[in-house]
Amino acid sequence: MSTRGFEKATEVLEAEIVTYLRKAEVSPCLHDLFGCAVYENKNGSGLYANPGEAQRLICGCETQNLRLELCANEIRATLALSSGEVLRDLPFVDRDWRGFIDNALAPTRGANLVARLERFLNSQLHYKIMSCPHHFIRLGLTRPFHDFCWLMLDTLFPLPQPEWLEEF
Amino acid sequence: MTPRSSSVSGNKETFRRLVGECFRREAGSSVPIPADNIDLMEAGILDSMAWVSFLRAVETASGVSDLGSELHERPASIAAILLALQSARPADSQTMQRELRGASSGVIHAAVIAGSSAVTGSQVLPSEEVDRAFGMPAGKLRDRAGIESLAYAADQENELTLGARAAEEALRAASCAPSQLDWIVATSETHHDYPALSAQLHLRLLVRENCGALDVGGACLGLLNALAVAQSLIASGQARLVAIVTADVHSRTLTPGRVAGEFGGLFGDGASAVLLRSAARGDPGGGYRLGDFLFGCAGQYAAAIRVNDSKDGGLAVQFDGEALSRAAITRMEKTITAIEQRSRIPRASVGGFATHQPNPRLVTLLAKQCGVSPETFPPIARTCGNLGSSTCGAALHAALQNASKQASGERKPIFLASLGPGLLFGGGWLSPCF
Repeated sequence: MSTRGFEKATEVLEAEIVTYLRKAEVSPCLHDLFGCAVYENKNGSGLYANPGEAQRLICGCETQNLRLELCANEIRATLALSSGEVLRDLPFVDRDWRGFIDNALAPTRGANLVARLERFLNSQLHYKIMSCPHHFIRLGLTRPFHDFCWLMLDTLFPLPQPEWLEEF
Repeated sequence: MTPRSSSVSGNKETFRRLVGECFRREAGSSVPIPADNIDLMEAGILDSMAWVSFLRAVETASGVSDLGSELHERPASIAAILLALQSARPADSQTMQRELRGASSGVIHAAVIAGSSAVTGSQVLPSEEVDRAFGMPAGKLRDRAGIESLAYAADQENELTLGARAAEEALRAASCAPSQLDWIVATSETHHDYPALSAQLHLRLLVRENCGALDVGGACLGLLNALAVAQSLIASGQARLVAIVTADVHSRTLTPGRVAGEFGGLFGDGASAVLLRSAARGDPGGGYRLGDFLFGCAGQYAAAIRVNDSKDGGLAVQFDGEALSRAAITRMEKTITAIEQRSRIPRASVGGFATHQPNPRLVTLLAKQCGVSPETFPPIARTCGNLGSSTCGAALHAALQNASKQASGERKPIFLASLGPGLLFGGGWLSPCF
């Protein structure tokens, strides 16, 4: 069936989406995220699973804390699961959030963009995310890449609001 | 952002060797090290995962903690990394800079207060309610000790949550990110679990993996011990930004039936955090600089307070309130005199005394003994109870808050003094930076 003619008829509220996502696969700890062992990259940063071992490729989780960081030209997320396990340097691939960060770094927004964005990520944004009642994230596994399936942060709720750009 | 070593070419070679080693670990030893100016991602030598991984390895090996943010909008090249390493601030690179400058440089970095915070347990009870809980006549804590209310941790609060909240508020006040921390130095007289409090704070705050975490003891003297350790880390160039966190939850240990009300009823729950930063970063002024510390142990009072776990899971408390009160006043006054002599700051010109406060009555007596106004002692114990190692931290935060209301040029020094079982004692001072 073609979806070409589809048009947006209505919108589901973010909080409602999260309500449904919480009913899907959710894990409090690293081992249960994908139903397989997750390994630390021995040579550098990041976490991976061996191809073929995972029982699913995406899983929701609640977090004790979450930080976003600019590392060179990349965005990385570090988070603490409910179990207290900390996952560092996960690639952050959420489309809405990446768009927000691209907009934040648009040259038309003036000087010291990186410093302003970093300050925002560390203060107001951290508060906005962690205090949001429907704060929720989904972690995913990449397709096999250099022999491994790497963990990434697929989705972050709340989604970014364009007006936040006015705050920094 | 200028290189400090006279041997710039030596620096370059050391950095190049280190970058080369990290690249080989990431790309494999069979991959030749590319030319400096090649963009490793555009050339397909490293993907984005490997590029970040490579940068992290260089950060860890060099001690330069914010390489990632220095390289934004720069090519993903070895030349860009070398340039960022060359221009790194001296204290950014710990091991590396020591290697470069040798052990004899003798450079000592002063430590300044970058931010502070204090929090208390969210359940505040009038002291009469605590009297009743401990089976004492209502009004005893208020009349004998001067305690009006006590702050207790709510069910969902503990040393970790209170300490993390204090640390996050201090970071916010200092406009610092957790990723900037080089060390967390924690102290608590009530947290005896593993992982230790500093390790749990490390996880909770999501600081960098190569941020150190260390716990120090001393009970009520813990804050001063932690400040002295943090100051040493900064002075030696090992750290640029250190969080000192205290957190004490007495209400789950010193409970009715386990200890006498005359002892257990004095204590509340709280936490504090102080951020110390190297003054070498171009301090704009207006803050406070940490002076020297003095410490000691007056063993003659060792029997005045002893707390031991007993075999049956109880708590054996030996508490001679009268002797301890006398010792506390005498020793704190002596400590303040010693600070006065060492700092050459007369006590009359001190803006705030951030001292331990066993109970409010003793604070009043101490002020009288010292000949200074009781108003210069922030009233922590009166409304929250004795917060253990966090009392001094909460008093310091209050003194700093009071000072911040004054014009920069009118701020006065702050004295620190505390005691711990033993009888450990310690003191120090903070001078305003103009």
